[in-house]
Formats: sequence, C-alpha cells, structure tokens
Amino acid sequence: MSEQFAVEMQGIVKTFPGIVACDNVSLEVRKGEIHALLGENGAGKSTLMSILFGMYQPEAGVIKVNGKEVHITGPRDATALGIGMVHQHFKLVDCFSVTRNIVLGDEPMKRGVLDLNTAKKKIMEISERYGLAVDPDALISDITVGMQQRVEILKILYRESDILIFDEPTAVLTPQEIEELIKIIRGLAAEGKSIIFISHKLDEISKVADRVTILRRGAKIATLDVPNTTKEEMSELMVGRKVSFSVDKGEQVLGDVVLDVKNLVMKPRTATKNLVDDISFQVRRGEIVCIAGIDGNGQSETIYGLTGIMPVQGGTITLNGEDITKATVRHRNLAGISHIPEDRHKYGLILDYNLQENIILKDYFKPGMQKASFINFTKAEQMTEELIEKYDVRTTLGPKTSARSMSGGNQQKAIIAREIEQNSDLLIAVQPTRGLDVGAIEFVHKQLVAQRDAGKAVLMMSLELDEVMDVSDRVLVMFEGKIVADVDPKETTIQQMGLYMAGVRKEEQHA
Amino acid sequence: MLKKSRKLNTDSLAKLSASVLAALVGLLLALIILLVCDAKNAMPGFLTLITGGIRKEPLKAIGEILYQATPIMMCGAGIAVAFKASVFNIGGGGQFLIGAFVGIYGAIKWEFLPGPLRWIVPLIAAALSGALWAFLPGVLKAFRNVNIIISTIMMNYLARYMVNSLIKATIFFSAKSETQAIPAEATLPRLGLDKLFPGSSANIGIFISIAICILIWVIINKTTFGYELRACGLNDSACKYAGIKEKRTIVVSIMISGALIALGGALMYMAGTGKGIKVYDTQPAEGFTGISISVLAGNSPLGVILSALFIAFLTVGGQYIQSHGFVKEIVNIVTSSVIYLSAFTLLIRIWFDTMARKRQAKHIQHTEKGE
Ligand SMILES: Nc1ncnc2c1ncn2[C@@H]1O[C@H](COP(=O)(O)OP(=O)(O)OP(=O)(O)O)[C@@H](O)[C@H]1O
Ligand SMILES: [Mg+2]
Repeated sequence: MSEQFAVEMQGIVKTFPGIVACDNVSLEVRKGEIHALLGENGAGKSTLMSILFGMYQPEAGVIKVNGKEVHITGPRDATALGIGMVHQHFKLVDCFSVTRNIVLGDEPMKRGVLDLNTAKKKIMEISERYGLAVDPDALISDITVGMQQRVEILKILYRESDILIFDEPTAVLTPQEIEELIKIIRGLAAEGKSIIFISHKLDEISKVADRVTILRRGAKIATLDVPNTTKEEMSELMVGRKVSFSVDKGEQVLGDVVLDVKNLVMKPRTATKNLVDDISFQVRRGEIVCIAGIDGNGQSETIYGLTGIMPVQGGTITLNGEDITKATVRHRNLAGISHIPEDRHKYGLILDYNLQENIILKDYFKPGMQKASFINFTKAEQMTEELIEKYDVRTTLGPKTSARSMSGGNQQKAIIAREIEQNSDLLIAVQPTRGLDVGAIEFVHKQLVAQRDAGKAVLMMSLELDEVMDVSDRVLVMFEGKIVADVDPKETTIQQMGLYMAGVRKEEQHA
Repeated sequence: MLKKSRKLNTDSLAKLSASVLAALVGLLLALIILLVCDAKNAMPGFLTLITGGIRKEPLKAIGEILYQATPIMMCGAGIAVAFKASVFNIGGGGQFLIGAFVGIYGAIKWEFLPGPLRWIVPLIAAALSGALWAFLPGVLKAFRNVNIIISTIMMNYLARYMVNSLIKATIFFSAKSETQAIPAEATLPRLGLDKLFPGSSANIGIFISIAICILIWVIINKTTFGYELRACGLNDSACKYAGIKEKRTIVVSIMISGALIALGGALMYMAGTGKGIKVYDTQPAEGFTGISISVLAGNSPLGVILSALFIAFLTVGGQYIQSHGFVKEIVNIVTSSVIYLSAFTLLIRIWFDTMARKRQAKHIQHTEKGE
C-alpha cells in the first residue's frame, strides 16, 4: 500500500480570466510534517491553498484528505475536514474581543445563551499548551499584529483542525515574533499536526520545513527534502535563473542635503507620550539611509510625519531648503517626495480600481495625463504597459486587471513602479520588499541603489535586519521615539545592532 | 482585446440581470397584493399595470411617462453621484422641496427677465439652492464627522417647515392652500411634445434630465474630478496618501447631489400642469424614490435614465388600474412595492454570486463522477 498522506492534491487546474493560476499542480503533505510552498509572486500559492480551503473550485483535479477523496465546496467543508487556514491578510473583527473572534461562527451555547466562559477556558487551555500567549478579553484593535496572528492560529486550533495552512505568516511579523512563530509551528508539528507553510524567506524555510514544493507560473517544478537542498538551489528552481543575495553598490558620491529634519515630535491625540520624541537627522543626495528598530518605536509615525499623512506636533521638516512642515501631502509629493507606504492595502492602492487607474494615482491631475480636466486614459494605459514590462508586474488582463485580483507581491511591485517613476528627489520606501519573492527583492534593491547612484536621496524603513545591513549606507536606530544610534552598517555587527535596537545608546556601548 | 471586452460584458450583464430580477420580484408582489384585494379583477388590473396604460391611450401615456420620469430621474442621478463617493444622501426630500420652491418663486416673481430666461434662470437658481442646502451636511460630515444620514434627515424637516412658512409669506394661494400658479411665459417649453403626445404634460424637462445624466456619467468616468470622487468612495486613506482633498470631494459630491435633486423639484413644478407645492407636513416621496432608482440602476447615471423611465412607466400604468375598481390607496401600495423592492437589486446580486459558486462546485462533482 502506498503511503497515506494528510493532504493529497492531484492535477489541480484553476484558471482566472487571462491566466492559468494553477496548471496541473500536485501536492502531497505527509502527516506531521512541515511542508513549505515556495514560488514567485503570482505563482499560484495562495490560489492553490484557497482551493484546499474551499474558497475556489478547481476546474479539474482530485483532493484527498487522509486518503479519502473529498469535495470541498466552502470553508465550512474544509473546517469539518480538519483543515484550517491563516490568511495572508487577517480576517478578524476589530471591535470584538479576542475570545469573541475565536468563537465567531462556532459559538458555544448554554440553554440558548452565548456561553463565553466555557469558551474562554478552552481557549486558555489551548493557548498554554502551544505557547500562544494572548489576552482573551482584549479588543483586536488594541493588540499587535503578532498577537492578532496568534488569535488566527487559536481560531483554527479551537476548531480542532489538524491540517494547518499558513499563507505568508511571517511577512507581517518582526524578527522576534518570527522566532516565536517558528517555535509554535514546530510544536504543532510535534503534536502530529500537518502544516503547509508559505514563505518567500528561504532562511525560514531551511530552518523550519521538512520538505518544500516549488511552483513557477502556476506549474509545480519540484518537491525537495529541505535538509538536502540549499538556498541557491531553491531560488534557482523558483525563478529559473541564479539569484544574487548580495547587493552590489558603486562608490558613494554624497551630494547636497535633501531632507533635513529638526526636533521632530509626533504625538497623536490618542497617545499618552511622544511617539517620536525630538529627533533630528538629514538625508543627502547619493545615500540610502535606513531607519531600523523593533516595530513600534516610532518609525512608522516618523514616516507619517514626513509624508504629511499625520500632522506633526513639533520641529521642522525641510525639503531641498523649503520648509514643508505644514505643507499638504500633494504639495510634498510635487516638491519631491515619493512614498512606498507600509500598508499597501490601506494606503498604497485603491483595490477596486484597475491597475492603470492605480498607476496614475499621483499623476492623473498633471498636464499631459489630463487635458481640460479630461483624463487621457490612452496615455495611462500606455504608461502602465511600459511599467508592467519594466518592473515585471504579473497581471492577467494587462493595465485593466483589477488591483484586488493581483497577487500580493505583484500589488507591491505596482506601487514600487509608480513611486520610483515619480523620479522624486527623495524616495521614502517603507518595508519595500515585504511579501516579495527573492527575484523581486533583488530587483527592488537594485532599483533603490540605482536611485542613490542617480543622485537621489533614499530614506528606507525596514524591520528586516539583513536588508538594513545590505542595502543602506547609514542606519538610524530608533528606540522609544528617539534615535539611539547613527551608524555605518559596514562597521557594525549584527550583535551591536541588536543592542542598539534594545535601547542601548551608542556612547554607552563604547564605554 | 477580445477577452477584455468579454469580461466587461459579463460584469455589466450580471448587474443588468440583477436589476431586471429585482424589478420582476417587485411586480410579483404587486400581483399578490392585487390578488388579495380583489381576485377577480387582479389579472386585468395587473396587465394594465405592466402595459402602462399604453393599450388604452398610447400617446398620452407615453407623454405622461416622459413627464413623470423627469423629476425622479434627476433624484436618481443625484443619489447616484453621492453614492459613488460613498455618501448616503437621505436628504433628497428636503433638497427637492427647496428646489421646487425656488423654481416656482423665481418663475412667479422674476418678471423682469426677458424671453427664455424666465424659466432658465429659476431652474439654475433652484439647482444652486439645492447645492447650498446640501452644503451644510456635507461640511458637517467632512470636518466634524457628523453622520450624514442623520444630518440630512434633520435637514429634511427643516426644509419642510421652512418652505411652508416661505410659501405662506410670499406666493401663497390660500384657497387651495398651496403655491400660486406659474405664469405661462415662465413654464417650461413643450417643444411640440404636447402635439406629439396630446393630453400629456411632456415638456423639455425630459431632455434636460437625460442630457444631465449623460453629463454626470462623463464627469464621473472621464474627468479628474470623477476619478477623485470614485477614489474617495472606495478608499479614503489612499486618497489622503495620494494628496486628494477627500474632504472637499465629499462636500462637492453632496452639493452636486443636492443640485440635481433640487433641479428635479423645479422641473416637476414648473411644467405648467397647475400643480403647486401643498402646505403639508409630509416629505415629498421623490427623494426616496431616487434612492430606489439609483440602486436599481446599480448607481450608474446612464442606468438611472432607464430605471427612472421604468418606474414612471409603472406609475402611469398604476393610474389606469383605478378603472378596474381598485381604490387609489391600493394603486399607491402596488406601485410603491415595485419601487421599493427594486432596492433589493443589491441583495439579488450577492445571491447571484453565491449561486454561481455553488453551481460551479456541483458541476465539477458531476463531471468527475461521470468519468
Ligand atoms: N480572484 C482572482 N481573479 C483573477 N485573477 C486572480 C484571482 N486571484 C488570483 N488571481 C491571479 O492568479 C495568479 C496567482 O495568484 P496567487 O495569489 O495565487 O499568487 P501567489 O503565489 O500567492 O503570489 P504572492 O507571493 O505574490 O502572494 C496571479 O496572477 C493573480 O493575478
Ligand atoms: Mg499569495
């Protein structure tokens, strides 16, 4: 008898208008293993998992769960079969408590009344058993992204799922949270649960997975045993060419100061203390400056202040000699700021607009794109076609593809294309490679360096320590709203960075 | 290229069939009401309803449909514009009244105006007054985040009582307790429609309404302002990020909405039918009918032209079923049930989606079992 798999997908075909998202894909997941799914942006990973979770119906193919052929017509069927999924974008109700969210759709009743106490007990039991620390009474809107993810995991464990799908769970987490998550996932596998784990980060896959299945353009390329493979082999199979993991940078030619921040203070109305506390720094032409730090130390607020999304409470911001502290967002954009935002769905895109409408988001009103107030859509289409080509944005219907239907990584590439093409003096790039595949990351890093070499100023924010160390010329480490270090990454070790990020000031380290 | 247009077609086709189905459900309810009231006469009455009385007096009925469609088309267009910016304008009733009053007032009092300006200027004034009336809730929403549904409803009451006292103070015809009649020179031109459709009140208003719907469609879909308007309706954070003035866009969108609805009010009362604004304390129904028309049209300004004509068609048909012995109240219930059930379009569209998914799932099971 052949081996009985927890999940067996055979010959799965799924097409969307204009594309075969899954082209005869097969996937076998053993019981109790951690099986990674790797592939370029738009390779069809999320689609394949959505099929397993019953959100899409394949046109052909067979799915077997624990050896039995099944038809999964919706998430309810999937749940009944013991399949649970943590989505790329969480599906939690912000104004409900953690407990309410976990029981949502499967509420425990006692004599016709919602019985939250029993539920809470069960949740606490599971939470202790797997080390998933949460506060059962906290509101979702008040907890960190990392804790929200633990809620999503508890949600599927509460339903006693034993096949767990994680769609890019680490893309939104800080390195510390990723460590914790990996521990949790290992624990779950040790309990005999089967895990499918989607990630673009090869290090993570090497660390956590037993086997890996690689997809490219909708087709399965190979399934490998992780201990017997290398990062290089995986990435080559995935993108079809060799990928360079190091960033090549030319000699630095420092120019004039583009951005000059003095004594910036950010304190939103709801905050009890200054989230950005009197910081000053400059960014010059020809340099990539990176703001690093553990998430939540004022980096995001600094960016909101610089780009005009939030008002500042103190200090001045000067761009090319012009005081823009109080300028509107539009004014700043025109004066020379491009901004790749942290949250691509909230700020970066209008999901129900198509790609070309999103590409002209910062140009639609400019002469040339508009005449007597009439938008030149032919020109928008042309421009979008060029950017699709240049930035390798994978779409199904070209410029008319709805942004919502694009894969997460390709949405990101579209934003990057739009912002870099603004050709601004200052490019603010917040987590620019979040959710991108290794090939795309290499490309984006090259583009950032190209901006620097063309004499632009680049201000990056990243939680990814490797990226911070490789790409930037100078690193500003933030801790509790203050800049605690301003260092050259070439002369700094990862260990030192860790200390700065924990709030140890530079002077103290040397002393 | 081929694929693109096919995708577009299936989209608008799904929208259209949801609208048609909603209309059919409304008609079915109408039939049930008729059956309950008077089973014997129900079928003939229903036939009259859905043939719009065209069988009886075709030309007059067509003319009446055009006349009746005019104000509700403007209301539908007004609601649709606001909807595109995710602004739910419930203030149609008040804006309609304000526009009607200003239109009538101008038509009666501004005798100094020469020639066609006698009716053109009051129409423009009516539209401006509607914009102004909608300005306040717009500003409260944009700058003080006051719920626009509540503020527009309050503005409706304000409009009703204000118009009542203004009528009494200026252009009151106490014998009928309504506004005075409009002089012939200031009524809307008939453009020969009275000859084409004798006995009806058809006039230039229908052409104005259709032209404005087309204009609104162009503005929403082709211009920078329309781009901003839709963007704000879809994602206001992204608007902020892109430097679009989302507050200004919200205010302008509801002002346009108010202007169109007010213009609808003026077009209705300046038709020279002898109809005046009654000094009542009820809200005009057109504001709410506009919501149904907009929803039935999937909030498309071009769709509004069709759905307004459809609702007018039923309203006119409804007037004729009195001849089958149904009292006026029943007629009103029947036509309003069609109008309000049309607002189910959205529900039906969602239902369509789930059905399609289920059907696809079944289909796969089937083909696989067959193999
Ligand atoms: N609902 C949809 N309608 C149309 N096309 C879709 C839809 N969902 C996905 N696609 C297309 O199918 C392809 C595969 O998308 P999918 O989201 O599975 O990619 P992915 O491998 O998860 O990529 P990423 O790493 O960027 O998240 C993409 O080209 C995408 O544009
Ligand atoms: Mg994905």
